[in-house]
Amino acid sequence: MHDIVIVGSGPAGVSAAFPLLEGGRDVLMLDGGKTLTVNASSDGYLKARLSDTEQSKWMIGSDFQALRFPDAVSPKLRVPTQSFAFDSFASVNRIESNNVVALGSLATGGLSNSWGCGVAAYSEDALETFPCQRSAMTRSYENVATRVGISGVDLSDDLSEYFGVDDWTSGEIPLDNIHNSILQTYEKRRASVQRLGVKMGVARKAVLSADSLGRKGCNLCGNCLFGCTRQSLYSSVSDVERLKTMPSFRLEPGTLVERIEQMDHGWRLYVLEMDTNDRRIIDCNTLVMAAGTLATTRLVFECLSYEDPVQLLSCPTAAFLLWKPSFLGSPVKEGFGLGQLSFSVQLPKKYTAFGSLFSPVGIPISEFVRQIPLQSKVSARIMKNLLSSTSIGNVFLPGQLSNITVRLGLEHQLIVEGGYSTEAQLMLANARKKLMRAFLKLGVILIPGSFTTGLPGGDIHYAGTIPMKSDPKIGESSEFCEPATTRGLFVVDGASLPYLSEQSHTLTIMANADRVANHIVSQGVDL
Amino acid sequence: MKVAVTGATGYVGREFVSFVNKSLGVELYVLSRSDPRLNGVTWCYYDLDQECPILPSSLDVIVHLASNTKHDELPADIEITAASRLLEEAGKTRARFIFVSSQTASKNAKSSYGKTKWQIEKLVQEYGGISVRPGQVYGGSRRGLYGRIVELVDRLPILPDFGDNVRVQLIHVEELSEILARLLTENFNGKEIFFAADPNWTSFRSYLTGLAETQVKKRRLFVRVPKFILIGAAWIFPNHKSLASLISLFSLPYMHTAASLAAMDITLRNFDTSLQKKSGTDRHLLEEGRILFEYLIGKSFSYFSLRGYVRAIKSLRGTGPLNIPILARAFPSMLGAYESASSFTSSTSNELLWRVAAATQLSESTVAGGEYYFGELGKYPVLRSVSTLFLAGLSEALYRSVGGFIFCLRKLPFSNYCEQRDA
Repeated sequence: MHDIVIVGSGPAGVSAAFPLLEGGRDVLMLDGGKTLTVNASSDGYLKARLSDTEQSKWMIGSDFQALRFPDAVSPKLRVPTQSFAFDSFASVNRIESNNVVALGSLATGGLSNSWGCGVAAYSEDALETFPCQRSAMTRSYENVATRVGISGVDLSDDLSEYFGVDDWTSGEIPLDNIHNSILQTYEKRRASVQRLGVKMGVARKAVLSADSLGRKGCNLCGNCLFGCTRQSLYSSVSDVERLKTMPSFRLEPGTLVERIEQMDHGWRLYVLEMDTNDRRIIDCNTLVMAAGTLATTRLVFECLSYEDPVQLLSCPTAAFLLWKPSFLGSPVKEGFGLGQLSFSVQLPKKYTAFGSLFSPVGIPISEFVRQIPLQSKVSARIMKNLLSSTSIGNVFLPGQLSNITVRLGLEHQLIVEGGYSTEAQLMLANARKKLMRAFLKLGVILIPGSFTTGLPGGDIHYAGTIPMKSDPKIGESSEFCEPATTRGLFVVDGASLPYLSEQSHTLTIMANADRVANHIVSQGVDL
Repeated sequence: MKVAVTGATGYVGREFVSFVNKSLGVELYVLSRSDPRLNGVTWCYYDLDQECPILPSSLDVIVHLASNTKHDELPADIEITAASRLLEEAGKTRARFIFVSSQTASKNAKSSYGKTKWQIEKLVQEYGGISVRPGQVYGGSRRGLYGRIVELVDRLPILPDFGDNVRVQLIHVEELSEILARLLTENFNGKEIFFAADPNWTSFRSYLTGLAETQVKKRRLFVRVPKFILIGAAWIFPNHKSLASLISLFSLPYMHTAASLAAMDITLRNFDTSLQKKSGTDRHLLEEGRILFEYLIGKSFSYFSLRGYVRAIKSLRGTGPLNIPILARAFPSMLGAYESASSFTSSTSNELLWRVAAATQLSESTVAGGEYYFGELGKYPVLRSVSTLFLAGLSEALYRSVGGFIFCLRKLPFSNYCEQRDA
């Protein structure tokens, strides 16, 4: 009989593990155990592209990973160095989707192996939806933010309040030339841009600007899309490594939880050893679910025999291409490949859209060619010439604007279906209009026709299927994320969030897991 | 890349030259006694017993395939002198040197042929070049020893069976050409000698049976012939070429080819099926890759990156090469028109579009691709960018209208959209 079992080694799982171990508890962590198979280049991106004769290993993959999924929603899913993070999640976890992108991870470190590193704390309003004490969340935000390491701005900017993480940031990642220039123009024309409801600032992200605890500071090598060999980008893999050095912690990778069952005392897990295909049973007093929203939801719904459809919160998204004509012909340079600048857009009905701008340099040209409806050769030539004067933007809307539901199917599979609400379409159109005008004021053209709505679920932000409520009914969970009618089961991943902000939500999941784990510790051992 | 080839009019030489010329688009200099009259190839007169012709100063590789086939007329050391002259020439431009040797090459070879080849291998090794020892080469046009054997099989109603001890290690001439082509650019950890043949023996009788069934389409009877009869015959007719060649098969040393093949990641095709199958799929795919890459980036690519295209198509599509219209073959940029024409059709699974997309990714993921996309912009970058963008727009308009035209005339033979070739 184990004391505590945590299912999942992603950001939620590790965030729950630290307080539990520090509180003197024993933790067994289970995960799918997939790990990196191909390494990204350790040289700078441009140097590697100009001299690495074996670059097809990480650009294409020896099994042609990059060619296998021409319709995948994100370049991340094609990159051979990142594919392990998404590999076979849906099939082994019995997730069935209809016109909705439904992804998750069986990797050690979960989806944090391949995330955008965006961080933010929920606003006061957003935290209103949480039935817990606000101070507990704030404390936990601080705990996880300092562990993860966040870079942002030294002084405050227009998005300081919106991000809400500036108290815990250290250091800056230098902006590349084009984004630096956009920001400077913004600072000069701030008033007229803000009149459109648009605010801009430096992106806050879980990236180290200097070496810390075995991770190295970002050197702007530009390989972000292909995976950070320096571990500057936060991934919970580095936390798993730290956890492994603690005596009361054990990781059993390659273990898939197929079913969970409440016993008279504690919980029983029916697991599959993925290497050997052997099945066995693991018993524990306390079960912490951090398998990722979709996998956790299926296991909990199956255990509760809960068959009603439930809304899955997922941020409607869009992407667009910006062009700054004054940068045409400037030299191509590699730089930080994730969010450079971020912006918020005030929308009707008190909605807000959030987005970031990225450099296109570290992304394969073919990713653009596939989007441009011209001959491939022409598209390639255009992109080659525009690379140094363009920027890519994305936009997210709050999660409740998706009309996606999940329900337990007859064969105990989780069926994910739906799409965007009409309201989401209207809001995206509104954001596009405002952004177009705002960027024009900054000397940047939002290329007409480039504004593309993403597929439902394509944001890979999923939440809210077992939401925390102060008075939870069946299918919901308590302020400490215990699903109604269960005892000793804690859902600490996205599934328990009652609200999915348009902002990056990972830090909130982590803070919530930290808060719940502290609660478990304070409860003491249940005998 | 500039490549000089000696012996280009021989059995292997001809195959290799046409392969490299078509599939890789390298600049070829053919050194031979007679002009092979191939398009896009420069011919220089060359004979083993004469001085080297003057080669271009920026030569990258010399492939030495020429061999003295008139054993009795020329002294053996002619070949050695010829090789050292060529090596000297290669040294001037620091060109790579690839020498095609023989399975019989050995210090203690019974024939002077084998000894000579071994001595040349030593010279090549000193230079830092690569020697390739091919096994029994078969397939393709009926020339050389292969041609003579097919001819015998055709003419003789009863074939000799010398027993299981007379056996060969086979390699298809196209495979040998591919191996040579890869050696043009790749290093394989500085290996000095490559063994190119099936690691398993094939008995000479099975080899003849295979040729009889597939090449001559006749059934042949075999009569057991003791070895000494053949040796006696060779003694009586010392100048008979086929006899001499046959005798050389009796004492072939076994070549451990597995390591060489593994280093190149090559699996040789099966002899039993390779002659029956419509061969050349790889070659057509290589050529297709070259055309697509050239269309996209306008550069010539190493065999290595084109090989990636072939492997990708074979493992992901499971179908053969496309039937690329002659117009696009000659002018790869015409593919733009076919791409446009394809995008007019409603079919979402258009094979040409899939392959162009794959080729975009694959061609990008090479050093040549990196240079194309990220290389220096040169002087007046702004002007250059503006004009490139303008020209790109123009070419889109032009090829799109040609594409529209092709789409309208799609029933005509020259305007197919690069569909699948017939299986």
